[in-house]
Amino acid sequence: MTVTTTGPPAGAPVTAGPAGGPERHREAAYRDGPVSALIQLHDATSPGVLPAGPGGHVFVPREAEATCDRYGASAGPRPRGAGADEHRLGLIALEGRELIALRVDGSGPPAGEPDGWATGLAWLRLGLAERLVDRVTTHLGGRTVQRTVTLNLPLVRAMLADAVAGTTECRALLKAAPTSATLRRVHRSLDETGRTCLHLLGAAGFVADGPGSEVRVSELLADTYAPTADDGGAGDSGGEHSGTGVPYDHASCGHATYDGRTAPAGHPPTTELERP
Amino acid sequence: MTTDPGFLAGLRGLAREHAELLRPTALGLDADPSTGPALLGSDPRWLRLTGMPAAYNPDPLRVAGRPVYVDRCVEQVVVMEELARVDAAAVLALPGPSMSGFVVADIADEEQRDRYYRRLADRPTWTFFGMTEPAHGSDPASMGTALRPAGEDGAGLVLNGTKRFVGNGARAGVGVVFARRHPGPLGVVAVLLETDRPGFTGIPLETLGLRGLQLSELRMRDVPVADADVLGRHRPATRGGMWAAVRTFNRYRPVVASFALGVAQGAHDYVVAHRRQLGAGDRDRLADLADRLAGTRATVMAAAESADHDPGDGTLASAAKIRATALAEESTLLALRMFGPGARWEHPMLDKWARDARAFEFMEGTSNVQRLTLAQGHLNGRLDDVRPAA
Repeated sequence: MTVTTTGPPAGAPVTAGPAGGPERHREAAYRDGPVSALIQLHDATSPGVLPAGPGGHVFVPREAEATCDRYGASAGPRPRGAGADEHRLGLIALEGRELIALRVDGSGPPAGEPDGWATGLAWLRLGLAERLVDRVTTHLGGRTVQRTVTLNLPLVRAMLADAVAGTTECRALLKAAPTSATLRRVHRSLDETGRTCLHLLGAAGFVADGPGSEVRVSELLADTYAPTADDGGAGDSGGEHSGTGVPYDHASCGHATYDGRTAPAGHPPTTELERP
Repeated sequence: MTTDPGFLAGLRGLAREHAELLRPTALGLDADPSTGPALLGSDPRWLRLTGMPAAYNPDPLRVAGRPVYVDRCVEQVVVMEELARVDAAAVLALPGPSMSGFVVADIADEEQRDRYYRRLADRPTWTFFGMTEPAHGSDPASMGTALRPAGEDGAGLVLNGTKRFVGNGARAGVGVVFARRHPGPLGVVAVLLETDRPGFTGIPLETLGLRGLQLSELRMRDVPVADADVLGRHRPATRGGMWAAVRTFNRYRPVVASFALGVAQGAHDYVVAHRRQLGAGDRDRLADLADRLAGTRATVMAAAESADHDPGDGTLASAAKIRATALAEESTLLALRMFGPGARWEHPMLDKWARDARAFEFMEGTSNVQRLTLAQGHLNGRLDDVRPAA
């Protein structure tokens, strides 16, 4: 059996969208990776404004953060520093560049349907997932197990199919102007595709200088920006669009700090399950 | 070999006390893995949990007055689960025998055993198990690391090759390297090797999870090896390095499963401890997770009992590893979801556990490899099912 690992032609739009439409962020991510694509997305959709997710978090390249004098909020952008409490939650390094995570009290996505940032981000993550699938097929096409090319093993092919079923679903969902519910499903589906690809990569997906680092950034983007369900019951996950939306004991959870060394206090309770 | 539930409960309680020692340092070790040796090598209590044999372990752990050497798989899975509820990376980064100890216990001669364990008893010493190679994982048929005669006169041997994704490799003092000495399936041998030999280099790899373990690359260029370093040289080839490796994997997979189970349980407990209100949907999800944890714990224990009974049969070990690795991933991700948007930023321990959980999938064989083993074991009648014995 011959192995064909020819990827899709880079930048071939799946929909005949208008020039300058959100599909271009998919192509940028596929071609240039997350940091460059995020800078382009930010320039195109939120220049000067920190885009915030439903929990009041921001996760953008440092170059983009440095250009912002305002932050996003439900009623429109507000000036940074004017009484808005900002907390730096972490820095993520990727190929010599950095992304910064912040919590900005009172920030959030604009009310109503998803804005350009939210829609573009879904396309961007789709491009990252397609880029990841390509890297996986190249990686597995170049390895052997007992003289069989790894990509030709039936179990591996099955997992590859699962991975591309996820990106297929997302392309189908994004054909129409997306709602919050659409974007929520796109992010979840792309998370699943990423996990499947990590399984296929094995330890190669676990080292920081491999494709796993892009998967991590993509997941953190979803964690920060995926719309929340607004039909959750009281106390269920999500359901609010200000603050974190979920009641928990902030004081005992040890919020992330710049160096990530704050450990949560508190002793997990004994449950019935723990008694052998 | 009996497994008294009361004894195991006592052991679990002791392990839980030890686990709490790891909580304050878990995020610091994740941020800077180089702190591992100072953190974990300075407290002799840890060595008692690592399976040191009685002859080298004068002050063993005691449960109800009875000495416990944590050298049986059933003991190891109980202890490791408890420790992994807090920090699996730190547990894997403990000095002591770890996986190489299984090989030494199985096929080393008296001199080799003493050389290995005496060093571990004398001072905090990390060990390594060098099997996986960059291009083809742990497939022994493709192994490129070679052990060859040093020169024309046949005096001594040299080791050449590269091993990758070796836990504690860069900080280890001694370990076991697998290398091809002859062609064919019986041509792979295990070599007992100190890391201070000329031509041996261990380089830590930057990883996304289990960072404390410091997965490493080992490079060996004409490393001198004596015949006395070859493990099992006094045994038939069919009971040599690869035989010991298979038994090691069969015994260590339930332990890896117990690490994964511990991480999964830790994530569950974190939600229980820190979520103030739970709606019906979240309560259902948490109850389902608790049920799966109980089922996986039972499977891991069954696998450990099987490994103690017959280390040659890895069928149940594969079942345990499939279940536990999936549960670790799903439990940590579910826990993050239950804290809403930005949970990875606001709950660094959960984020760490989610990153750590992903290592278990590829450690000691991927889930696909385990599926093949489990299916074959079933077809061979190795599972205790209702079918009459063939």
